[in-house]
Amino acid sequence: MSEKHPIEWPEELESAFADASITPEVDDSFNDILMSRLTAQKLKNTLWYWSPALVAAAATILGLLTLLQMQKPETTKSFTPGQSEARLESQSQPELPRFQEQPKIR
Amino acid sequence: MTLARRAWLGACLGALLVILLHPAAGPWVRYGLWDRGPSQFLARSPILPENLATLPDPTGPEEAALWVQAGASRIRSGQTLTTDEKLLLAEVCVSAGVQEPNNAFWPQGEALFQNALGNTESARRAWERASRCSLYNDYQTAKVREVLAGLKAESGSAMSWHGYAARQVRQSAAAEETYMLGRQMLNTSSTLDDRVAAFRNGILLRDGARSVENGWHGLQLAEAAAIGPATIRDSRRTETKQRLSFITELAQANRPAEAALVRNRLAQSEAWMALASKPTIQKRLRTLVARALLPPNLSGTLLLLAVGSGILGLIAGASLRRNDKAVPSSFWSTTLAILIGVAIFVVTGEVAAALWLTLTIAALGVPLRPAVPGAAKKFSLSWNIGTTFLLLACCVAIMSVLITRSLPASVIQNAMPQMSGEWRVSTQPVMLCFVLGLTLAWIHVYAFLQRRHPWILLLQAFQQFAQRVTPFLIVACAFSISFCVRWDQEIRAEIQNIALNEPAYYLTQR
Repeated sequence: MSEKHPIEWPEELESAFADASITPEVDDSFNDILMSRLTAQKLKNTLWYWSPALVAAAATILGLLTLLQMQKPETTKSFTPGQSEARLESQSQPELPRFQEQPKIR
Repeated sequence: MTLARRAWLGACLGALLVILLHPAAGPWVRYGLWDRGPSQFLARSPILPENLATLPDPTGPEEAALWVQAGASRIRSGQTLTTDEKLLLAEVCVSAGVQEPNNAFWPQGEALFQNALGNTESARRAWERASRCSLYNDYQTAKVREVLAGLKAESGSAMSWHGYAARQVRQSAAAEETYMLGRQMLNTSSTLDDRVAAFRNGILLRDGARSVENGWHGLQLAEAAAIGPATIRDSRRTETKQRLSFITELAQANRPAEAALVRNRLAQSEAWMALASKPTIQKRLRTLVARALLPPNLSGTLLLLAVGSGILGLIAGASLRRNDKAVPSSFWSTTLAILIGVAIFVVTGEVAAALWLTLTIAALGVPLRPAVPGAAKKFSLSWNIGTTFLLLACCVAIMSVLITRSLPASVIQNAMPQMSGEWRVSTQPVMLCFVLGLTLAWIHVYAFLQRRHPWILLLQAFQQFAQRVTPFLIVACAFSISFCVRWDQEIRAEIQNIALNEPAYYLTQR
């Protein structure tokens, strides 16, 4: 097996590299932008993942609301009282005697 | 999670939102889901005589009519009325009759209470006065309308079963006692005038009654007057002959107008007998019962099943995560089985059903073959089909139990006691026990063949079923609401018309 020898840099270059300080100049809002981008990406992924559920839910709600709105309004036709009955029901109430003590007839 | 599963879950959530938030959905879910009755309106409303401790003052015709019905009901049931009470009732009828001289209901009531007092002459005079009236109104239709409105307010929507409750409100005591009084008067004296008076009273009652039961009392009285009490009723033929001779007798007595009237009314009675016979009515009401019972209960029952299967699935899932601790010992299985068996026996009184379920539950704790821990985890197609089918059968049996014990069902049963023979509510729990036992027996067989523990298998079955069926039940519940509203609307008018004017419904039916 052949041994790998480390590359031998010239000494000047090596010391220059060691002395060099790489200090990136970062904007103050760098972290916030990064985080918001990450969050947006996550949200986008989540939305994309659940989009079939959202579409299905919207379709179901729309379908059900349409079905419920399609119900006919109350049109129950019922027998109305005949003339004689209507006359009797709308007549002034007879003045029947009032009793001091209510008789108990069950 | 697959795309289809996510879409299905979304549809399920959408359906649940509509059920919970749409105002039109609430009334159609309540009776199946949580409101098992009794109806607060029917239990407390002063419109219903059974809720009244004391009759209200007879200040109006409706209250006075209530007095007449209450008095007639006491006479019919053989309870004693004091002389003061009879006098008071007769006085109420006189006072109301003064206000409404054309309404035969009041003088007929007066005749009834005068007769009860022993004043036969006064009773006969009132009876003749009643026969000259032009109409009959017992003021029960207003009560029917109030019951329909009250139940609509309570339910949140008009429903067809309300018609059964409203129909039941009509009383028949006054009509029946009027018929009995007419027969009694005909037996005492049956001159042509007496027969005409009885005939006219009967026809007034027949035409003015808004229930077939009351109308039949009038019809029978008119028929008895036409046939005459002296006839030996040996055959229908003799009766028919005698009935028609009443017209001839009137014509011979130089009363052609009355003869024409009697001919016309007798022909109407024949139509009545043909179209509003008791078997016809029973048949029609029976047909409508099934259609009136399902719409108010179906959606709520489906949602209740969804909630039940969801909870059962969650419990099963949680138990399965505890591995071997999910399996109760044979002691606990047997104890649980005995408790359930006793409960079933107490509820249904059926020994076989209780014993069948006790044995199948107790056997869960005692595997016939010891379970092999490394047994195959996959389920065969036969297991999936068999278990799903049996658990669906259990759902149908549970729905049947819930629907026959719902508030609308109990109201309909009260309104139609003659149906109790066909509609035995004890049958449904027995069927449920049988199907549940069958499902457990299937699990025992599969556990034996696959060397699995029956308890674990049961929990797995519940979990699988809940996962598959719960979302489906929720979506089905939401879509069934619209279907139930339409279905109910189709028959609501019919049942309400029966409640409001039963004879007109049958006589004008095509």
